[in-house]
Amino acid sequence: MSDDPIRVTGLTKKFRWTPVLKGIELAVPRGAVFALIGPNGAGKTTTIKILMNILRPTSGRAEVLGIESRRLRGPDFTRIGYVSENQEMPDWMTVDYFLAYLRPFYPAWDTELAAQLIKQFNLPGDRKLKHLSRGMRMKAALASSLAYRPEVVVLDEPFTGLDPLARDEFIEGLLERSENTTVFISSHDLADIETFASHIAYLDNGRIQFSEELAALSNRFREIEITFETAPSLPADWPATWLKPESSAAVIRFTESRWDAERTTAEIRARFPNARDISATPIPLRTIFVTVAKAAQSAAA
Amino acid sequence: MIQVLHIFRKDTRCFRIELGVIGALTAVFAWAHISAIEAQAADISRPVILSFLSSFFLVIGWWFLVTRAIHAEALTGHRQFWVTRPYLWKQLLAAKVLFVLAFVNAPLLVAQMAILGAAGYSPMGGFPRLLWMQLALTLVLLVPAFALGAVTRTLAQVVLAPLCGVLGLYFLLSRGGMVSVGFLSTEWLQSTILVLVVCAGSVFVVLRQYSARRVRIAVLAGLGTLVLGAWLWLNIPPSLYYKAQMWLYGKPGTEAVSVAIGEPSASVPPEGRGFVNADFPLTFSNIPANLIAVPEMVQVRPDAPNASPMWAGYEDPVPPPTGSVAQYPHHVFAGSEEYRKLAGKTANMQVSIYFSLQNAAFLPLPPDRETRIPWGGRCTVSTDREAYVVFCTSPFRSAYDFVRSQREAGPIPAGSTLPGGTMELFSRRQSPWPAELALSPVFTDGFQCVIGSTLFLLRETPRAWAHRDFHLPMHFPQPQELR
Repeated sequence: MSDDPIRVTGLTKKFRWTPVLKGIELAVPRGAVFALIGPNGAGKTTTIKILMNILRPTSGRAEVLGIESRRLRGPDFTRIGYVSENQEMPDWMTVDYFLAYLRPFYPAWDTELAAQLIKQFNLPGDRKLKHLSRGMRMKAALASSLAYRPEVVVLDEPFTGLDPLARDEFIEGLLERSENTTVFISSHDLADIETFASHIAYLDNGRIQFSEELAALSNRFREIEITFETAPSLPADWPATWLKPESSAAVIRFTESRWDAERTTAEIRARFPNARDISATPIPLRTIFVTVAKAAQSAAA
Repeated sequence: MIQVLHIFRKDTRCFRIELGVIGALTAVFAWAHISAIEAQAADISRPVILSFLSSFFLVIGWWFLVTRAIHAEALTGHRQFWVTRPYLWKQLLAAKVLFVLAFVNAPLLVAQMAILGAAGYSPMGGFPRLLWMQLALTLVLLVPAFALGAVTRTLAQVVLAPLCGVLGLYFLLSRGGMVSVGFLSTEWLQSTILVLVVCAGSVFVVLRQYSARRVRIAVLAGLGTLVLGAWLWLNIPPSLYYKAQMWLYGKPGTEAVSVAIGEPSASVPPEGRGFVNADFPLTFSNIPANLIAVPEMVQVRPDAPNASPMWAGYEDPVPPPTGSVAQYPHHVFAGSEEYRKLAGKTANMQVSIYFSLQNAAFLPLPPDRETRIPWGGRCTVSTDREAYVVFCTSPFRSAYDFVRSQREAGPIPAGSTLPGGTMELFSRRQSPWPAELALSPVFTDGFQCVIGSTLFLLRETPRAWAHRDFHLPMHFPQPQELR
């Protein structure tokens, strides 16, 4: 049995005849801050709802804390926190009453921690949830999901519609209070999570394009520029890992998605024996994602 | 249990305004019914209208409260905060049941006890029957409301879903050409089956939703239950109901009773376009002493394959003939098209006659006095300027069948159990249940009649049920209107 708190194998989901998830595989290591990134409509929320047993998968398997998601029941949620951008809250409750109401449900509820979170997030305890701003509501939801020190926190697009200050406060609170917690977070915006995620998966059109540690991801992508004496032509056996090829006058550019200095250089030399100069430049995460997304679109087209 | 009380307390706080409104409505309901009893208002009058309106709005208020309480932890949709919290579904359901018991059943019970007490009946003595009424009301009104709340999430859906259901059912029934035939004395059985089917379906929907939140299955089960209930209501043959009655009441004393069928006659009733009124004169003889024979249902079926049966329900015996021989001109309504196939011909027919032997007791109601009536109720006859005003109350069921006699005042003839003159039967209940389905435990009725009338109360108690089958050739006359 795997120790990964979240594990997804061969997960598919169809809404009537429309496939939304097409056999995704994920493994979220214990203690990771795992970001599931993808464009709108990629299937992130569906994946999370299946993990939380809000939706049932069409096939495949999703596990949270070793329990198949379909078998998740009330008591299991004492170890799981879930915050979603579009969650319906009991709007008539004040922040204080909301936390006080939830307290008896959780044996591990830490009243002191809850008070700290309220203070840290500057939440007005006597204000009704329906009178809170979007950012405040999300922070109230997060506070209510961290106060019992869950083993896993699942966040579905928590930053949507938050101003930068609210987002920073949210992230700060999350990271400070989740030392021993595995965080699984979805977002359509890389900028939201690249500063703190340890692992990242890219979901597009119902398929995981890659899933790995953030550092490893940065290391394996390079923008390659090859300079020639004369105008080159692209070889017929263009490797699949060389993405977004462009050529102009005496230069060929592409993104290497499996960068290894020695191997990649050897491959380039083999294909372009008359190359005058080869340069490899690290590229920002945003560029990596755009490249991967465009490559996926081209492949689909 | 802790979670049950915790959710209950939360709901109580959340719906404190609604609870205040329901409490006020319950108080108005009790006050209006007590006022109507004290005013001895039987016909349409202000206290009666007020008591009706208070009952109506109380029921609407309950539906609103029950569905709102369930919507607080809505069972449809994917966005509710509670579905990813450590709720235990059995405890959540128990909390909602407790909420309904505390704020619907308990206040109503108090109001019912107040009404009983104000009408002069012992609330504690009638407590088991009050509990029965609570059970019946819960099954008929609250369990379906619970199921509706479990498959909806907004008030608009709560209002629209039953409307669409009723319209859809009406459409289906009208397309299917199904017609209900009312059989008064077995109506309780028909209603009981409908209530049990709807309740079983509702309970399934509620349990399914709370345990698994699978809306599509629950909605389909709910709709299926409604269709099944309607189908059973319309399609269970009346003979089955009567067989059930026979099983319940037994057949003592019926063996000796013989039944004869006279020559049928037919006519098209002026109001009954599309129907033919076929008269089957029935003669009962060898009726045991002190009992009357009442034809409950006649089924006439042509002795041919695929022939549709013709039914006729309870024949109102006004006045019920007494003695060892009784004759009834029993009417069987047949569709014109069906009858046209038989008209002017002699056909072999299967005729089933279901009848009951009843004990008919007549109780005189003397003027300006209070008279005890069966089932613990009482009637008073007061004298107004121009009329006797009769007003009766009865706890838990309308146990009285009024008989009015416009005959000259005078004693009942010696040796006869029947008063002469014109009589009118007001109600006739055969249900074995200890209480009728109603909000108020005190039933009232009354009328006015000219001073000098002799007033009697008739109570018919079924003693035995039986049926006789006949295979005989019958000639069906051709009514002028069908020519």
